[in-house]
Amino acid sequence: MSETLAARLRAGQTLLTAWSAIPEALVAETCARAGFDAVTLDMQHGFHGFDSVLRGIGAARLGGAPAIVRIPVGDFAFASKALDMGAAAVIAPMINSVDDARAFAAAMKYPPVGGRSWGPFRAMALQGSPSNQAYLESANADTLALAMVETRQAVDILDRILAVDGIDGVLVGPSDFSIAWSGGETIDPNLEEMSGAIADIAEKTILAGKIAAIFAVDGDMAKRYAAMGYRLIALSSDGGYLTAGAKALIASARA
Amino acid sequence: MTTFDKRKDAYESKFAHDEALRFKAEARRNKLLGLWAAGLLGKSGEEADSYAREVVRSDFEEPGDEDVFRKIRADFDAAGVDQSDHQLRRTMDDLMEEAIKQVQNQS
Repeated sequence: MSETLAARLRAGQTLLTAWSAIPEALVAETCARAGFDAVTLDMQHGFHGFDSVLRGIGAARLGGAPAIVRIPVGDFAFASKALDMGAAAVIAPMINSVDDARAFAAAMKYPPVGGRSWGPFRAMALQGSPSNQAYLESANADTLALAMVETRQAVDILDRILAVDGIDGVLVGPSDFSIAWSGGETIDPNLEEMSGAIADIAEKTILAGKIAAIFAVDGDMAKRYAAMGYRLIALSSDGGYLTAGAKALIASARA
Repeated sequence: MTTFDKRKDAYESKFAHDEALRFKAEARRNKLLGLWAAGLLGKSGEEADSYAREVVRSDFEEPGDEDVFRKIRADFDAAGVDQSDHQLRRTMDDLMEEAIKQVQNQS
C-alpha cells in the first residue's frame, strides 16, 4: 500500500470505510476486496475482540485496505494495542470531556505528544517500516486518533476537544446523536432537525485543521455528509452488506 | 542501515510532518482568503464572516484548491473586481504561508 490513510484524508480525498461487526478475518478481507478504502473493526457494539482484531487487520491489509479499530468505551489501553497490531486509525466512543480526549490522545501518540509505549512490531511488519527510528518518527502523523462525538456534552465542548493535541479528528455517530438530541425519545440517524448541527460539527472540525468522519446508514446519506465536508464515511455494516446482497440476488432470481 | 537510508527516513518523516501541517493550515488559509476577498467584494462585519465560511465550504467539493479558486474567480467576475488569475493565486499562496505560520505558533 503506497499512501497511508492519513495522507489520503489530508490530501482531501473522500474515503469510505466498511464497518465490520462480524468477528471473522475473511469478512474483513472480503470487505476490503469489495472496494472499500478502509475496513473498520468494531469492538464497541460489533463482536470483535482481541483475536479477531489482530487477524482482521492483517486480512484487511491482504485485501488491499488499511484497518481502523473502534475500541470499547474507555478502553484506551486497547487503543495502543490496536496501533501495535497495525491499525491505521482508532476510533474511541463516548469522548465527552477534555480529560477523555487527553487520555485517548496519550494512548495514541508517542512523546512528546502522548505517552504511547513502544512495541509496534506487527504494525512495522505490515507496513514494511524500514527501521524502529522511521516508525517512531512517522507514527504520530500516520496513525489517526478519532474521537466520537455523539452526545450534547461533546458538542458543547467540541472546540476544546478539537484543541487537544494528538486528537486528529472526530467521528459523528448520528444514531446516538439522535437519541441525545431528542432527549432519549427517538433513534433516527437521519433526523432532519439535527442536520444543521451535523454540518456545524464538520465545519468546526475542518477549521480546527482536523478530519471530520461520520457513520452513514446508506449511500445517499454518505453523499450528503461528503458535501458537508466529512472526509471519512463509514457505510452501513457487514451484516447489512450480506443481507442487501442476498436480498437483491433472491429478488432477481424470483423476479 | 546506510547513510542513504537514514537520509531517506528523515526526508519521509519531514514530509509527513509538512503534509500534516499543510492540512491543518488549509481551512485557516481559506478563511483568511475569504476575508480578503470579502473586503474586495465590499463586504464587512458579519457579511464578511459569512462569505469567509462560504469560501471554507467551497473547498469540500474536490481535493486540491481549484474549487476554492473557481468560487472566488466567479464571485470576482460577477462583481467586476479587478484581480487577475495570477494575483488571486499568488494571494492564495501567500495566505497559505501565513496560515502555516499561525498553526506553527499555536502549537
